[in-house]
Amino acid sequence: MVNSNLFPSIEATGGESSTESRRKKPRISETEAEIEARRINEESLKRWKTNRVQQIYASKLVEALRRVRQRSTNEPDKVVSVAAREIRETADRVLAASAKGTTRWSRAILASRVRAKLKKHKKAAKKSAGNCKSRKAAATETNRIKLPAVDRKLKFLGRLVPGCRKVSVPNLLDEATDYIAALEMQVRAMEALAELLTAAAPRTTLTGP
Amino acid sequence: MENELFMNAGVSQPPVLMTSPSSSSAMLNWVSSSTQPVDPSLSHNLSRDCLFWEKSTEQSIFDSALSSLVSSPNSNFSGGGGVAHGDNFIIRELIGKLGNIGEIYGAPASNGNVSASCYATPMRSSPPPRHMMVTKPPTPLAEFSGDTGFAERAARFSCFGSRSFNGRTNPPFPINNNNVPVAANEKMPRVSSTPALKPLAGESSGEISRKRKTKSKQNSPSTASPSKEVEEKEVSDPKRSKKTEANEDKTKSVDDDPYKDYIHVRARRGQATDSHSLAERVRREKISERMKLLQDLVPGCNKVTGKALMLDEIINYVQSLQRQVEFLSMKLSSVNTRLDFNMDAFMSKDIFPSSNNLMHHQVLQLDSSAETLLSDHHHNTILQLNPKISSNNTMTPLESSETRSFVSHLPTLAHFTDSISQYSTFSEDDLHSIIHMGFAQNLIHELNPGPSNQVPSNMKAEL
Repeated sequence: MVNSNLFPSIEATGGESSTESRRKKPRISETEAEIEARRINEESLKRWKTNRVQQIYASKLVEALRRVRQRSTNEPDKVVSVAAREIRETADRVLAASAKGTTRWSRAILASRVRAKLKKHKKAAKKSAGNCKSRKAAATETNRIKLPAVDRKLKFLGRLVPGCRKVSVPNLLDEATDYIAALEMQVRAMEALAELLTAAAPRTTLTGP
Repeated sequence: MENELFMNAGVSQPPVLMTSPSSSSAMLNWVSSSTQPVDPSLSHNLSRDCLFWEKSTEQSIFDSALSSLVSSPNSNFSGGGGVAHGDNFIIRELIGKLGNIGEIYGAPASNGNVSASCYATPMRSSPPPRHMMVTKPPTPLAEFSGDTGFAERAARFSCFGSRSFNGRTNPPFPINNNNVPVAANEKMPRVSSTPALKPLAGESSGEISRKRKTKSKQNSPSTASPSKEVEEKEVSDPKRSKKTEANEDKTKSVDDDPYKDYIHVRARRGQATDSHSLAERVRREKISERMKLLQDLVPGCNKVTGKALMLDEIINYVQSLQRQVEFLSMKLSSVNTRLDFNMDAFMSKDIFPSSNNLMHHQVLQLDSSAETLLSDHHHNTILQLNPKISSNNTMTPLESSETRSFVSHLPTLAHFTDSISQYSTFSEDDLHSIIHMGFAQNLIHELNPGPSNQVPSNMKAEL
């Protein structure tokens, strides 16, 4: 149905690992990937600004929110933060879906949901989340040798952009460019939508029966 | 350039036409002009050669020029003027070996006989229109294969002035006993269609460039494009041969080299030609190119210079955008919950008090537009709404512009009764217009750091 649009196939999960291995190949693939990346870059700044993309995103977002709303009506006792997180994740997913799988971060976002679901099942068995955090803390403690400032920042940027931790620097910058453009569009759309809904909604509370 | 070559050979002025790529007119002149008298010692094939140099009708000049090419491949052209006529017979010999022009302008450009030297290849590399090609025996010209300097000088000496290196090698050997008219006709287009020569030109000039660029990291440039650039540079200044690496502009060929997939880079003037430093430079330029793009994207990055500071700005911007998304999602969730309640309530008409119909209609409108994009059963509710909407003519002044737009759309709702797609487009357009209004309104706030929200941004980093 319509809802199937929002959640493209799960094959995106394999995308990340395959792209990583692709990166390790010698320059043969690099030149092709470079052409691809340059094309993406040139288009990315424009493609997130077109009306069509905004329209698509807005409509998909609305629909996704509706589904979330329906789901949340079944469980009325939701903390605001949880609901907010859900909505944010939905919005991110919709955004990633609009990217049509050309960028790494979009694939990572779409894949993360699957991974999160898998983790949920495993969480009962072992507390993997806790281990992850401690492992990371330990790693940073041991690596006391400070990388040069630029490298540190690049790493941090890699952490910010979903799915771009071990990406090479030029690719990381490409991904960041696209991600920033997409985020801008997302913010604009969500702001407008929120404005729209909040403008009308308060009237009902004011004039409730 | 060619001028000076001609000067050295005693020719007053090379025909200017020869230097123009579109020298088909030159060729026409050449064809139209009758054969000039030449030294009987030369075969009359050579006489054709005279015609290339329009103004140089003297056979001796031709002889000297040509023989200088042949006899002293490695010497400077300045001394080429005084070559004895005795060398002519060498030329004749060579020309005889070359055979028919029909053979010379042999197989189509897809010949792979690189070793047949630059002289064989241009003859062979004829553009498609000329079908009268016969495969040329490569052996006679094999002796020239090693003589890259010769080829180069011949190229410069060429009267065609074509950009293709090998186009230049033709004039000294336009020779044929039988197919002179053929040659003439063939040469006419050949000059203008230099690109056709390039595939084979690439092979021969590749040899030259390979010999020259021992230091550069260029590897087997058998592709046409890098060699094409080589030719152009060779053409422009013979004296620059010593500084080929330094003077050439940086060129990047990202074409798929059938032999090796490398990005061909040239060293710029005054820069290290070490392969490592070249690669490093390429890498740096890639990165800086992307940083420039990011600079345009992130506001306030124009004043900042340096990678570290710019990265700081970029990181801040990404974090602020993510925080904004968080905040907005929280806002939407709260609105959603409220709407949930209202939505359920609005399902049944009985809940509406009459005085508040308008407000409810507006909210309903919102709900309907927001929800009933493509669903069937909401369709009915909208149908039910329509009579209600139409009954309410008076509208209290609205404060929000968005709702006003909604109200303006209210009457239009009545039209969308049947097709779901209409609803979807309507709501999309509506949303679209509203979002654009929203954009306009929020443009000011857009880039401010996200309003204070309680949700920490750290969780996002672990996405």
